[in-house]
Formats: sequence, structure tokens, C-alpha cells
Amino acid sequence: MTQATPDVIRPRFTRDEKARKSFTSSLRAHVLGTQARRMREHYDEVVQPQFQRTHGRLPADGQEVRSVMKRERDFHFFSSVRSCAQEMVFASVIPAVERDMEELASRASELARDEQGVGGSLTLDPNFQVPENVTRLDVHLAPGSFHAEWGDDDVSAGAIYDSATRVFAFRQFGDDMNDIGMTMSNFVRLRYPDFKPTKILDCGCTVGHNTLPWATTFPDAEMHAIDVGPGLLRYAHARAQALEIPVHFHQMSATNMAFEDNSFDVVFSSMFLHELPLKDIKAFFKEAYRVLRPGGLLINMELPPNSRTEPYQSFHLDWDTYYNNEPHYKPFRDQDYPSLCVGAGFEADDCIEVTLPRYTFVGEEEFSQSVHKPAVFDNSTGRMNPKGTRWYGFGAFKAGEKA
Amino acid sequence: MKDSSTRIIPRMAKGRRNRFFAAEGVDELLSMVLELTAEVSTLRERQYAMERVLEQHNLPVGEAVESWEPTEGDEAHLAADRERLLSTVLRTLEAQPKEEEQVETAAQDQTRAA
Ligand SMILES: C[S@@+](CC[C@H](N)C(=O)[O-])C[C@H]1O[C@@H](n2cnc3c(N)ncnc32)[C@H](O)[C@@H]1O
Repeated sequence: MTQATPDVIRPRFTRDEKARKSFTSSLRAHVLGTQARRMREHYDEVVQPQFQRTHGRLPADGQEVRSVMKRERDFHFFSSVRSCAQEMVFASVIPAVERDMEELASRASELARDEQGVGGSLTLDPNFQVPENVTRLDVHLAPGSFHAEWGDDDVSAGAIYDSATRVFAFRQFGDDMNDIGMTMSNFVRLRYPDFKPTKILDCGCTVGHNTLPWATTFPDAEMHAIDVGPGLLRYAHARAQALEIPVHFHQMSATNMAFEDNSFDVVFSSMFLHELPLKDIKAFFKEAYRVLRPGGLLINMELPPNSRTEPYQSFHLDWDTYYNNEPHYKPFRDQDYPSLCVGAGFEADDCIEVTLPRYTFVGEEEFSQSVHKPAVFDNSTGRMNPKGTRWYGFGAFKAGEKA
Repeated sequence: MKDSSTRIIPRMAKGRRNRFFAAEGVDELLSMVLELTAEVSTLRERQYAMERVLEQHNLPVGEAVESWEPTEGDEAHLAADRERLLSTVLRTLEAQPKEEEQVETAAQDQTRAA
């Protein structure tokens, strides 16, 4: 069954606006494909040999690669085009969202009333303080970051994110934008067949693209999701309702959750940890440990740590930290991930690390064979390689038998 | 009150824009070129749609084009067309001469400077 956003809460794009979105996707694929490849060739043929002649050795890490690449014209062009493309992603969807703002808000409110009895819920906190990591900068150059509201019962932030991410991803997140959630939930189902989660939590869910697959992979489980942006949550809830998938959305910080101790079997996050300053990452791991039941699983989809990627790849993956208003990306990737788990109370032996082919791209059969394989690290591990991508995940089981 | 009651969403992120080129204005110029390219691409798509629609109907063109949706075949055509357009516009960056040919360029510069 499809999990694509239903028309009822999609803004209406004119023919020309659709064409502009397609162009922006092509531009993204081009800069991350052709232009990135060209820059890599230039590095291999010219920059790296030069470095070796000067220093008598190869660059040791991403920072050293960056220090020399920063002077290269290829890097200036790559970065300038990539940065423009990022701005154009948002510019290509905002006019339609702005035009349909009131209509979308009223349709979302109607879906939230749940006359069809889906069973999901939305809990906003009127006194909630949106954390500084979201308010200080417009994260990944999105006007209004994740939290701004422009009208009453506004869902614009969600509508912008949903449409923009589709443009941004040039199909790399799957036709329904849910490949990460499909991959991670099916990994848990196939790799641990005796583990039967009854209550699952997604932290930093945004519009729920990767929340819904958990609800459908584990249809008997109660699904909860939290985020800090009110417009995102209203939209996420309306979207889930329209797709008739029951999810309980809450406005809550992952660093300080209102859930009870030992109440979830799975705590999941995707593309989330890099949004947080290190002290908040540590607070989140402690909270995840606290709310998990003994035997429960914390699983995070993220980019692999810098220690797992070769220097050039680290340099490439750290681009966002410098130019995309994602200042916490590199500090996060510099961490030892198992230590983050152990620091929060998990046992070193209970930590897991996986790299997985994309479930909706390869299908159940090929996927089920790969869930037992050891992690692989190459330039398709991480995200957004037009030639193929393998998702990376890590986390830990909480020690003790399930009560 | 909300961020604004005007219901206008800004088109740009707050803060300073990225700058990569030492020379003043190059980053902005590149942005303009890409925006222009987006305009051309948009026009081309409309034109393509118009032709297909004309084939099917003759008239009324405007309304028919507005409701036209690309098929998978059309998508492939348009994606290839966009890729070609990008290669054309970015030719000066992507069709760079290799090192030996650059030696010749340096010699040309010297000649011109003399
Ligand atoms: C890149 S998005 C995550 C994407 C989403 N998980 C998905 O897979 O589609 C990061 C999200 O984290 C949220 N966020 C940031 N800080 C948070 C916090 N302290 N607690 C909960 N959510 C937070 C942001 O509002 C944003 O929606």
C-alpha cells in the first residue's frame, strides 16, 4: 500500500512550478553526480599527488583534504552550484504552499478531527520552547527553519518540508519518501524474528515519512512520534490520518521526554542526531535508554562516523556542516558511536552497527539476504549517491530480559 | 502572534549567503545563471507539453497544457533534455582542457601580454 502524500493535503503546483521542481531535482542530481565525480578526479589526479609531494604522505583525515580542496576552483564551483541548488529547492515549492496556506490548514484540521476513526492523535504543547539548535539558524537553508508558523493552525512548515524533500532527494528516498523507515523496520523484523515490538517511538519525526513504515511493518504495535515544530506535527498528523495509519504525534524534545521509564520496545531516529549539539545528543541517548524496556532496541539511521570513512569521503560528507547551516554535523560524525551508547547505560556488547541496501529498491528477497551480512564501508555508504546508496544504522539493545 | 500575520513566507534563509569565489559577485552571478537556466528549462517543458497536446487536440491549447501530466516516457525525455541543458550551460566548467592543453593556454596568455 502506498504511503505517498495524498492529494488532499498537497499544495497545488502549476504546470510551470512542477517543471521548476523537476529542473531543481536534475540540478541536484547533476551537481552530486557529474560535478562531484569531476571534483574527485581532480583530487585524485592533481591535488592528492601534490599533497604527497609536499608532505611526504597522504592526507590523514577530512580536515586535511578540506584544507587543500578549499583552494581549488572545482571545489568553488561544486560548492557554489550545490548551495544555489539547495536555495532553489525551497524557492521552487514555497510559492504554492504560500498560495494554498489557508486551504491546507483547514483540510489538516478536518483530518485531525478523525471522523473516519483512524485512531491517531496530535498533542501540541502551547508552552513549548523550541530548542536553540532549530531556532538559531535556518537549518539546511530552509526559510523559517523547522518551526516557523505563518498563519493560524499553520501546516506550511510541513508542506514545505514534504514537497522540498521530494525535490531535494531526486528519488533517492524511494517513491513514497519512506525508504529509510522501510529499510530499518524491515531490518528489525527480519534480523530479529523473535523480537515483537508492541510500542515504538520515532524521535525527530518531521512529517513522518519514516515513521509510517514502522506502523505498517509492525501493525500490532502502538506508534508514537515526537518533534519540536508545531507546523510539522500538524502536517504529519494530517498526512498519517489521510493515509489511515494511526500514529500518536507529540510536541516534545527528545532530550527531555514526558514518557514513562521502560515504556517502549523500539526507539528509532533517522537523519536526526546530526541536528543536535553534543550535549543534546548525550541527553537524547540517556532519555532513549530510560524510556526503553529491558530488551528494547535503540536504532538510529545516520551518516557513518568519520572514523569509518576515508579522508576524501569524510571531506565530502562534512560539506553540510560548513555550508548548509548544519553546524553539528561534523562534531557528531567525529564521535565514537558505540561510546555514545555506552555513555548512556547500554552495554558495549549490546551495540549494533549495520549497512543496508535500500528495501524499496531491492525488494524483500534480496534485502532479507543482506540483513545478516557485516557492515560495508565505501562511497555508497551514507546517502545520496546517484549510483546507489546503502543506509547506515547503529544503536544498542537495552540489557535485561523483557518483563 | 505568529511570525507574521501577513502569510508571506520568505524565499531565502536568514543570515549571510555562502561565498566561495574570491572575486566579488561570482557566486551571485552563478545563482542568476542557474535561475535563468531554471526559467529556460521551465519554458522548454511547457513547449514540449504544448506540442504533445497540440498533436492530440489542436485547441484549446492553454487549458490542455495546464492539465497535461508527463508519462514515464515523457519524464525520461525531459530528464535527458535537462541534463543536456545543464551540460551546455556549465560547459566552461565541465569541458575543461586537460593539463597539456593548458600549457598552450599559458603560452597564449604570455603572447597576449607581450
Ligand atoms: C532532518 S529532520 C529528520 C527527518 C525525519 N526523521 C525523516 O526521516 O524524515 C530533523 C528533525 O529533528 C527535529 N528536532 C530538532 N531538535 C529536536 C529535539 N531536541 N527533539 C525532537 N526533535 C528535534 C527537527 O524539528 C526536524 O524535524
